[in-house]
Amino acid sequence: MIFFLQIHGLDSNVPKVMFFGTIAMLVLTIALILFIIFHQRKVIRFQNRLQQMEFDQQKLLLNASIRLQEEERQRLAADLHDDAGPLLATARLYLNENLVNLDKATQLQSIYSAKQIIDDTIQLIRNISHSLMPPTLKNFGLESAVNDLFQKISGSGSMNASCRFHDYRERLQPETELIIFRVIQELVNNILKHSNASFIHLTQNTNNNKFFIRLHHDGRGLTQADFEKLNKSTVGLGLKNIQSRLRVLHGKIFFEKDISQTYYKATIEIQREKEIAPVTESD
Amino acid sequence: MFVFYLLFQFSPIALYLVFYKKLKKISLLKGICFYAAITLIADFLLRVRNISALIISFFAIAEFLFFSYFLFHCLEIKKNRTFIVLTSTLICFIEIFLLIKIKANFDFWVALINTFIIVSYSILYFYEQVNSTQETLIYESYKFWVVAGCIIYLSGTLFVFLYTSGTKDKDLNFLWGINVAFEMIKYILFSIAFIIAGNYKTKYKTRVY
Repeated sequence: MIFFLQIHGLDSNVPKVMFFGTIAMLVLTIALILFIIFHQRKVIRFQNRLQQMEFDQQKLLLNASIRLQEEERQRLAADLHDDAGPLLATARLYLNENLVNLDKATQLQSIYSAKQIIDDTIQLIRNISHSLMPPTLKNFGLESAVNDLFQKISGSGSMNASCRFHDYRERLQPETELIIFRVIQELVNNILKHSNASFIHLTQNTNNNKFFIRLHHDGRGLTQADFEKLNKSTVGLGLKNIQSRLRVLHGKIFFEKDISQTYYKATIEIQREKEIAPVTESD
Repeated sequence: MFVFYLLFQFSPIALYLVFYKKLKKISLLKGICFYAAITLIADFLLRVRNISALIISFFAIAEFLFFSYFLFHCLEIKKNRTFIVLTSTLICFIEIFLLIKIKANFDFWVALINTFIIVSYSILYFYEQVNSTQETLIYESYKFWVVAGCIIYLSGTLFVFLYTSGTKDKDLNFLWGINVAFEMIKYILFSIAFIIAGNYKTKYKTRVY
């Protein structure tokens, strides 16, 4: 352009306004185009980074869920192998082929012992089954199941545990209740293991079609920053499991220290579904 | 200078012929070739004989309609497309009215309105592209280079056309020179668009954006 103007010379009567106007328009247009290019590149780079982060997080959650499943399977296998297996083997010993050759009193004694062992095995299998799916939760709902769990904790004498459901007139979907119960179990388990607390208190509320569960305790707890840090690291399997379970319900969890700085608080927030399974009389 | 200018003007047509097999399905590029050919003929005629200002003005309106049509096809959101159709039709009627009824200082109004409208459409196109979920970069699309060519040409020549009326013959040559320089930039950018469209198809064998 400058070369071009030099050829023609600036001694012409063309006003300088036109010259500078053209230059200004050109600069503006080129600036606009460059801005669009760089802005789009920045946006794409940001999107890619976000996608990568999301992918990493998903991978972490999936790994946590697989590991937890494996741990659960190992625990089940150990329970069956170490407890149920020996009990059934002992019962089999009492009921061997030689039993028919023994006198009647010994036969009765053997059968009685075998029956006792089989009863113990039934109880053991029932306990395993209950740990997989608590019958109280299935039959009476979340409130009763949480009450049961807290009574057991209080009963052990190690900690004072209490709970209060303020707005639980209608039951949630069974799958939702199971997930919430598992999350509560995991949180309580963490408090029992790591917090050294003297009490746990759980409250339930609903607000704006949202279902809230709040857990207070006076021990050593987590803040949201700790939770997010642990979530991104390879440790903290239980917390990742909580997050992956809540993700299924589109729920959230918040960890914070109470305003009084005395208690730690964990809040679970779940959007209530429209179709809620009502509590029936038979329940 | 004029020979160079003609060469640049012919380059989109030449590139279309080079990449003919790959570009024959892209009707927008055919349109650019047609536009280049028409401009080439018009410029040639303007050199050899005197063409009335009325024909030049009609050509300016046709050019505006061509750019609008191109940008209409570049946009994806229906609302924006409707906006282009409505405003272009309205502007076209206003310009024809100005041309036939008022007759005075037509270059000024055409240049001002056309530039303003086409730059607005281009901003709309850029805005759509920035907000789109596509992961391809904007300059990987041939449309971007055509749009860039259009707005650089229009914004660069805006002041030239604003000062055309009432300028002496000696200065008109100078203004004509500026116009030619921007026309050359426009055709360079159009040529880049043809090269990108031609190579894009060979590389990915998919839809050309």
